[in-house]
Amino acid sequence: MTTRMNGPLAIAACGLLAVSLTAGGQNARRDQADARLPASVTVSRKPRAKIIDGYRAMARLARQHGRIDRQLDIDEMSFADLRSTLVREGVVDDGWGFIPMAGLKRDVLAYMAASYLDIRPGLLTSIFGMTRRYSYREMHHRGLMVQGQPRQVVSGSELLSVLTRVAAEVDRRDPDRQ
Amino acid sequence: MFHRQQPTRTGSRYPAIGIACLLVAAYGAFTSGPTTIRAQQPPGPAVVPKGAQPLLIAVSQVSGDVTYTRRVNNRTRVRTVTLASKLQAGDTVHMDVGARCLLLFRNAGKAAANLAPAFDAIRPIAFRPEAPATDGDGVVAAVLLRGYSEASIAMAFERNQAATIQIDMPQGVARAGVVPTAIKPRFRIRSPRTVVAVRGTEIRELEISVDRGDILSMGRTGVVAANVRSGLYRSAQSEQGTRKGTGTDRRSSRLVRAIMDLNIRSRVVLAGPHKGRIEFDQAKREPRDAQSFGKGDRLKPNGNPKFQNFINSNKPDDGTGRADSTGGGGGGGGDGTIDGDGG
Repeated sequence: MTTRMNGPLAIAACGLLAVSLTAGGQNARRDQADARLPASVTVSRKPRAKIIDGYRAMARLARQHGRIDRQLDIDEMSFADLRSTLVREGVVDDGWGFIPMAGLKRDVLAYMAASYLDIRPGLLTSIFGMTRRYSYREMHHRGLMVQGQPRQVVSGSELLSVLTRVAAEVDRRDPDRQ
Repeated sequence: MFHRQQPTRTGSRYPAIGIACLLVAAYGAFTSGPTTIRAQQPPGPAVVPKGAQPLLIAVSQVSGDVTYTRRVNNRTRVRTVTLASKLQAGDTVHMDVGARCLLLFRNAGKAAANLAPAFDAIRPIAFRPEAPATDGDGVVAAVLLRGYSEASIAMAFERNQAATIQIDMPQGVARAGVVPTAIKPRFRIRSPRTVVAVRGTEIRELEISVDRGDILSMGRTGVVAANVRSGLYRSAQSEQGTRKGTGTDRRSSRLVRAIMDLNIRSRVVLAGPHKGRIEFDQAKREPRDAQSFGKGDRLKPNGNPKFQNFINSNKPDDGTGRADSTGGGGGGGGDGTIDGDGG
């Protein structure tokens, strides 16, 4: 490398440094602005929703409906606390061993939604409890979820759409809430 | 003679400059893009046409976590929506699951005459020699957003006594009502798949989702047109619905798919108070009580036992909606029946 190339390289390095500093400032503004939006906006942009996204969204909906303590900070809760809270509410099965970063599948989401709405169709289901498979079939029958593969991971938008229908169903059952 | 051979220079004289510029450009392209919020915002504030007045957008009801973003001097401002918030064209409303927000689009001139609207309060009765105004205090349209919704107010202005309102909704659930005027207002809700133009007065519910598509249900009155950019449209009458799925349309027209998926809702027939009280809702597959009345419906006379109890009681109203029945005949409502057990 000749000495006459040192000048342009120095100029390029300075430019790279300036751009990186500018981008860092924009990232900070982005984080600051995104933090003030509802957490569901961040979820809606995800192509694959995770288990913890589904748990948080369901817990947020339960807090909105007053089924859990309104003072709980859902966004700051750990996964274990979140899971235990939902298990107490009967929304999540105690035997589930999902990791937080696993994909949220449709049958899992259907089970949580059906449990939240206390949907127990059929004699065997009312006696022995609901399974994820038949939860999904029931939710599809009621028009709360679309037809598809039960093991398919849902997107963030689909997760929020299903929870919006769940909220609408709760409002329909209790008109005084509106 | 021996000649010293000069090497031919084929590339750039300063290759390092080109490489550095490429590095800088590539890094800048990946890092200095618009923020995620700014990318969803319109490029600038909505431009009001010449001679038009922007509509005032007031928040009448809000519950849950609702925010809005606004572009101010190339910066995105995020604010929480309250009853005191004044939205404007170009704002984007973000709602959490379980939230509700009622937006009222009001005429600027009419709204200025009534600076303290109290929609939920009972107004004192005053004698007016002229007929009361039928324009609802200048309210042009109302939109109720529910559940997770993203709604960008693209246009909201009035020109030549005709209101023009356009809302872009990538996802969400909305109910809308437009006040009919002599000059037809333009009210549109755009989704990634369809454009719903309200020509009548009421949309019972418009659900825009990525999994089920766009599902439109009409209310008791009015007519709606679901159209595309080509200008063709499909009308849906009252008590009807239209669905546009998310699947690929092989007919190269989203409109045709919408027509093919036309779904006529089952109509719920409410019988009179002297007929059976349990009826079956065909759409929801469940029985419903046709004579049930809410807490705020005690002044509805027909078939309402609470009204009978209330009108025949000699106790003053305690504000709780409960009044003891003292029996007695007659009473309002005209049917002359008193049901003591509340049925």
